[in-house]
Amino acid sequence: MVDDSGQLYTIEGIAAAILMIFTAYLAVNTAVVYTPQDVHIIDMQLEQLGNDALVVLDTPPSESEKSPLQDYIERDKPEWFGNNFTRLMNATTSGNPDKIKYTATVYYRDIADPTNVRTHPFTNSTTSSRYYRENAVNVSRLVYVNDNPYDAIVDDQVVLLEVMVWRD
Amino acid sequence: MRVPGKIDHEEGQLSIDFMIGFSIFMIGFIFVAIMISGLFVHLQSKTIDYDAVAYRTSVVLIEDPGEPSWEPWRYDQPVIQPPNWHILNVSFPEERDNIKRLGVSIAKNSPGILEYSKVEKFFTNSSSLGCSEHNTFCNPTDYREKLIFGDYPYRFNITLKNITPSHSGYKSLGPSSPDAFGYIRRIILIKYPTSMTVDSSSIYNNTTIHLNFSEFYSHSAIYRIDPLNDDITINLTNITPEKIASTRICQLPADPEMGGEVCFNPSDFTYSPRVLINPSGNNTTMKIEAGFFQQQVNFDEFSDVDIKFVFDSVINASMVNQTSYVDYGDTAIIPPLLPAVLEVRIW
Repeated sequence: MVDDSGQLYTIEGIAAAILMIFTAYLAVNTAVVYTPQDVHIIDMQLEQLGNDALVVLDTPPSESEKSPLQDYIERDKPEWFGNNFTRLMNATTSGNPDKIKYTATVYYRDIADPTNVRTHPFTNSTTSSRYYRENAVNVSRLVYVNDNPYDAIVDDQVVLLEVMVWRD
Repeated sequence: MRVPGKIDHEEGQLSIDFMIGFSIFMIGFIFVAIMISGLFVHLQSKTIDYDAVAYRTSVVLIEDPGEPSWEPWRYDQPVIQPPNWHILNVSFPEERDNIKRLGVSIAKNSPGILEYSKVEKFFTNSSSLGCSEHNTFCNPTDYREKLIFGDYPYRFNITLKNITPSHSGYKSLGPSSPDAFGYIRRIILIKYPTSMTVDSSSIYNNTTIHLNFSEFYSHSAIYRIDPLNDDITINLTNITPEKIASTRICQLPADPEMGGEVCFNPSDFTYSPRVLINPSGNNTTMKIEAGFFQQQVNFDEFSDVDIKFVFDSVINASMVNQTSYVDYGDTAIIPPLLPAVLEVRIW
């Protein structure tokens, strides 16, 4: 007869195996590790979409026309920009449209003091939204303008349009 | 129990009980060890890989003109360039092999602005076994080889929809996706082919439509009339195909002293790209398919081309034997660039 000391019994083996499997099962199924890379991918997708929309708006539809974006800034029409920007950003090929919100600002040089960069909110209450603490990304585009949109802007200059976008 | 000076015959032996217990423990341990690897799925998830492949696919597709791609000659380019991939007839195996990469942008310098003829060709596909014998891409092998890349056989769904309500257009490639997939959405502009309309009341029995290619190619790629890469459509109103006695496509000599013009009869070309002359009611539509000028009759961006119609005398009885001359560049409608949305799903 073998001595009992130092032996592992069948029931203990079964118990150990069940404990390990159950623990691993719990760990696998409950721990969703939300890594920084996942957030980065979502931000990248939104930034790419925003940049695409600004490129599309800043491309003249025909050789003799201005780009729509240049036209909106020169005539100071944030609602036109808002309608078209959100239409492009929220379009999908099938299913429901996306729910992307934005707020936009134009940065331009002051006519009296060209070293002074001033800001002009390019938002409209019906098309743009207030930004609180959503996970937003910034997209921007340098837009050529040659008409005088606001009192202080210099003709024939390049202004910076910065748009903050986030998903509602 | 060990007794000094006595040989224990059971020393070093394992009991059956221990063997069974240890075996169950080991089986459980191996099982858990295999499961542990699954814990790291969330850290290096496949979704991230799929998202990256979806993004890469969108960049190759809409920011690149594909390979081979053609641009008008510049001083720093070789004189002879291969034609654009979309005008190759892929029912010929060597032409299918020549296509290395599927990209639908107009040119390298215009990412995100797509050429409609390339888009049409890209979405022309077939999943049947004999697909390689037709002028269509094989789904999914050609797309995996020339667009998605990578060793893993990714499955994909690519959809395109026009955003402008008056130009509804929807194209789809690949099966519908499962619940989890890599995704990217891009916004693009599409350049559509040009067309012109000629009414029978304004032309004589001999009518020449002139296309000055070198004038067309002096314009920016995204706004120009592009007879080498796009369809050219001529609508003849109030003229049925029966009233057309003859049609010739002629290349004028660069120097008149070098000899006469070289003419072709479009009906001599029976396989794509070719010239289609179809009735539509009382009218006739002549469509010169993208690639006809380059592939079939060897015209280039410096060609000076006349399309010469001879109509039956009944068309305009008082004007028999007179010639009217219409310039395509002055008359053609160049459609505006229209926005569209493209979605790529990879799993």
